[in-house]
Amino acid sequence: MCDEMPNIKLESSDGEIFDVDVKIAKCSGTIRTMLEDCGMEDNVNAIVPLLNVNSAILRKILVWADHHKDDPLPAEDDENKRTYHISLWDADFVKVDQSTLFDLILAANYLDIKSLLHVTCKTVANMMEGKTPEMIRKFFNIPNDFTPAEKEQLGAENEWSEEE
Amino acid sequence: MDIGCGPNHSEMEEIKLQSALIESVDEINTVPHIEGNDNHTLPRLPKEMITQIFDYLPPDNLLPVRLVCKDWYELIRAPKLKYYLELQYESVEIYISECESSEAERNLLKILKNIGPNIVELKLYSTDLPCFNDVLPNVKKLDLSDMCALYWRNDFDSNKFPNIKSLWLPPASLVFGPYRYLPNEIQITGMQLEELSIDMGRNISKCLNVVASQTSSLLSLRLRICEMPTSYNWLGQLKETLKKCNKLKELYIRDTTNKEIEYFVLENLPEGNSFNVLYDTKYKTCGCDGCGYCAVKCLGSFHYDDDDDDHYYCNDDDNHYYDDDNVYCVDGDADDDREDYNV
Repeated sequence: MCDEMPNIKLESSDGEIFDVDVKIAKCSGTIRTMLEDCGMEDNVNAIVPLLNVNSAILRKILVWADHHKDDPLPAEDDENKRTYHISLWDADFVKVDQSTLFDLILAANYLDIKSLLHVTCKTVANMMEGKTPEMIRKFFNIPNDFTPAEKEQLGAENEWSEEE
Repeated sequence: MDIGCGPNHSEMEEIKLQSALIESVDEINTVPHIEGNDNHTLPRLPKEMITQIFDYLPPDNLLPVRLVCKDWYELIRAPKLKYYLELQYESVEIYISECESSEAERNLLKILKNIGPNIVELKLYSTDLPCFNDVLPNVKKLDLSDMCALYWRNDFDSNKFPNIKSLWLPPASLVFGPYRYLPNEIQITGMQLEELSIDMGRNISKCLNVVASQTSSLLSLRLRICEMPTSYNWLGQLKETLKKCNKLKELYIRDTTNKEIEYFVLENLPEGNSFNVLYDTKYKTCGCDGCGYCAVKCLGSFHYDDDDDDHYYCNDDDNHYYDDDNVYCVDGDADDDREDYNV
């Protein structure tokens, strides 16, 4: 790491301090805003507490941020979500257990890292694609909380949608 | 894995100073604390995040997803996603495989009651036709031409479909079994059709009565002949009916028998007509290869035109020329008109 680059300290929710290149930390919109709006950029001793991200997830996110630190900021468009393409590196990065994947989504949202949010959300959506309701419930361990009466009504309404 | 050291005393001071600052940012990003959560199922994500995930799904995948649990059912009813659900219903094709079961009809009606008001184009492949009255108020095109069998419903009320501009009637003859549908039973007087496709069946004269009720609005007419008629006394009626179709732009002809009738029809078109006669390639059943050559041959010899790679035209008659798929009839100079009808 280049010595001239200022570093910043990030603190995970479980109290671990991470010494991070400012450029990498700025992949996070939340941290970027914090540094720029509050004039913390020149303060080498600044410690940013990230109350909602534990050390395991933060470590993983810093790997992501390091790989993507030279990427241009993604454009703000909701329209292309369904055609969003995941790169090989990114696909490999999100090959984690479901719990970690959901933690990454929460952290990406909290830290405002749009590209990571895209990849993680798209990955979960891909897991649902082409599955029946029962397969989705099993896959994500979701209890079926419809009452028998509701099931009957839904069956009448949606029978045809399950035929596919 | 290194556990990482906690902050020392001087750093603790700084954290205290900054915590007020950080809290203000946290307010914007209200996310539940993710630590110590043993529940690994997807619903532990906040609803906004679940909705974001749904945004990445193709619309047809939202239907099974909404049946997973109550929360998701409500989320997919949210306005933004509802938009996607409705979008795909403007043009609908429905195929129900169980032939003639009352359940198939019941299901079809169920679908139409749900999505009917959104449908602009509807194509059906099912065998029985439920009563459409009142469930399809906005449909503009109704395509029944690929139904494999049909009882025409006596309670079908054409006045209930004021917006239909295009009607493709079902086939008249069946490979299996006797006739079950007679075109003369259809009353479509309440409609102002711009496009009509009709299967002539055995009783061509009665079919032409159906066409005659639409002469003032028709722009495009498809006549399909799939049965040898018992006589040719309807040719005069055809000529008269077509003469009245003063808006007609296109007349598609398809004779799936021995092409003789097609020939007679072409010979008996009203003089001075302003419509084009096209060879209908839609139907490729009844043993025809659908290439178009058989129809061309019965009208006389033709030769290949080097100047225009895609077209064949007739030696005998300057008013007709042909390409692989279509037969054209033009009233003027064939060379000029040909440009306009390249396919």
